[in-house]
Amino acid sequence: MAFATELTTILESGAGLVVGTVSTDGTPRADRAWSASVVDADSRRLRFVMSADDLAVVDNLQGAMVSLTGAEVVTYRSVQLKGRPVAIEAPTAADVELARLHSERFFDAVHRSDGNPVESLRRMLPHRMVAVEMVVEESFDQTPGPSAGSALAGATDG
Amino acid sequence: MGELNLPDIERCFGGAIPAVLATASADGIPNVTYISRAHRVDDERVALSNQFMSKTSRNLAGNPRASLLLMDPVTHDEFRLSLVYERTERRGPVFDRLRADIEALAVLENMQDVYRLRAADVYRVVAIEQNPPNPLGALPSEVPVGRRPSPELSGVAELAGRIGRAGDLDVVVDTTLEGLDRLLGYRHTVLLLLDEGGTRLYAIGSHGFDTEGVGAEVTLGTGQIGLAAERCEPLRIGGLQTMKKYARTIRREYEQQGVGPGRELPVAEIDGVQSRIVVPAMARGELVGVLVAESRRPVAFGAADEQVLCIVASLLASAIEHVRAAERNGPDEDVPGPAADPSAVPVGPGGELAIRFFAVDGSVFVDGDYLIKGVAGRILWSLLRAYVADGRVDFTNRELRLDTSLDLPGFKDNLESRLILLKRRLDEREVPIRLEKTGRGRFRLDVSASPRLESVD
Repeated sequence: MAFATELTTILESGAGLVVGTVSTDGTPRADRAWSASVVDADSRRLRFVMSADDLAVVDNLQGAMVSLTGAEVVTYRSVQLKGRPVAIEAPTAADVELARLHSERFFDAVHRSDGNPVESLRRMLPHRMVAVEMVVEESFDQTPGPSAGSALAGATDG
Repeated sequence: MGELNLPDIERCFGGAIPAVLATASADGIPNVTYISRAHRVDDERVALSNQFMSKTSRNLAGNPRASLLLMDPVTHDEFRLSLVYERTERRGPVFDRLRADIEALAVLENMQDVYRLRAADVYRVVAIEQNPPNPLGALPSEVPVGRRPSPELSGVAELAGRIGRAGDLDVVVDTTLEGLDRLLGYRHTVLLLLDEGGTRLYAIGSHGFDTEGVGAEVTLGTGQIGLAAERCEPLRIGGLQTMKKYARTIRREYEQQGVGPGRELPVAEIDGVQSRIVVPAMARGELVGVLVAESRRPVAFGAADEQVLCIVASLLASAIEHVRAAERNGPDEDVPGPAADPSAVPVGPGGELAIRFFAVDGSVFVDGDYLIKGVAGRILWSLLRAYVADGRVDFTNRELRLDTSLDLPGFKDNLESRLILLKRRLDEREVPIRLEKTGRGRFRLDVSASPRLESVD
């Protein structure tokens, strides 16, 4: 699956991860995610851990669509995945460890690219996280440029 | 908007850390993307460049709400802004700011011909919340306190830009005085320039008065204006009405002894003036003129006003000196004007106009009314003589400089200032004689009457 390959490549570089959710009244919300991994490429299942300091985001996830965008820090190569959550739960120990590893990789990439001190970047980390498992319905190349928004796997414009 | 305001998070708009924008379609599908930079439009709005955000644009058409994550590049504090899309701009100052950003980016890769701003989307900010910073992270040892924007600073910056774009002295004067009113709230202002001899100031323009009062003169060291000019130091005065009452008493006492005030044209002054501030306009360490502002409030001007007006006066002085230098060296001066027609009969469409010239001080009276004196008076007399004798209407600054009857000093003759003064005085008095600039160092005399000249030695 194209999304799995793209996402894995981007994640390995220490990508920045951001999440878009929508409340029941249609208000969008931007948050950060701290890890993502492909659970099963064939069934297009993906798991990510995101900030949940404001529990409103957990409400947003219930039965609604969600978007996850990952972007390489240096190249801005980006992918956006859209789908419906199938599980919303407290992060497991493995989730927490993966989030720790990925966030450090992300901070290191930012530090090497832009010079931001890692110890300051850690202020971005959330106090509370939630793990989300989703089925990817659409995937898009989100790299800035004329192709931004084109479908990764024959899907529609993003 | 809650406790936080856009000016509080100014550093987030520097573009050092990409922002994150989330929108949603009308049927509830979110879209989340990184954007290179958000711009603050004013205290309630932000603008985002619309480059590759076709999905975002479609979402906004059906659902105008958006969520923007911004990060302070120093503290790494993160802020979530709730936005409502207002409009898309394809021209104007906001668009230009964002376009400059895009062009700066494009030029790095020589892509300026293809990578262009399509539109600037303007959003109203309805809420700002800060994500609680995690104590696992540390603040940098030194968090610089950024200079906070202020209306005064913005006004001065805008006025500096306008003065810098002004191409001639007439425009410099009007731009400055009007800008002081509109951008900085100084409703009543006068600009006086130092004369060629360095002993007197003459008013070349004013704003916010019933009469412009151009041509009014002040001797250096005399009165508040003259004193500030002589010392090259700002002077602030409040409670002028009280001071005036006192001064009137003294004047009455003198008058009883047969000593009266002079008969010079007074500098423009608002009725009931209570406060006045006079700041010197200096360039290259020399006095060029003074800027005067007045108010009816008892103590209207403070230290900050002094600073603001000193900055503007300094910019103004440099601009004036620059224009003067350009006029003196202007290439247009070598271009001859239309040849005079010796057979021309200088009869204007109006009636006869009695022009009386007093050589002793260069004063000119029109139909018995005082018009102007000094260098400007001698210039007018010289022009009218050429007009009556040869029918000439086109002149150059250079030929005026060679005219010994004007008694111009060889260095720093201030000719351009005198011409502007003459032009404004003619306009103000509604004399049927006008001066019109026709190019750098060139001008035309427009006479719509039949002048009858008389010189009194």
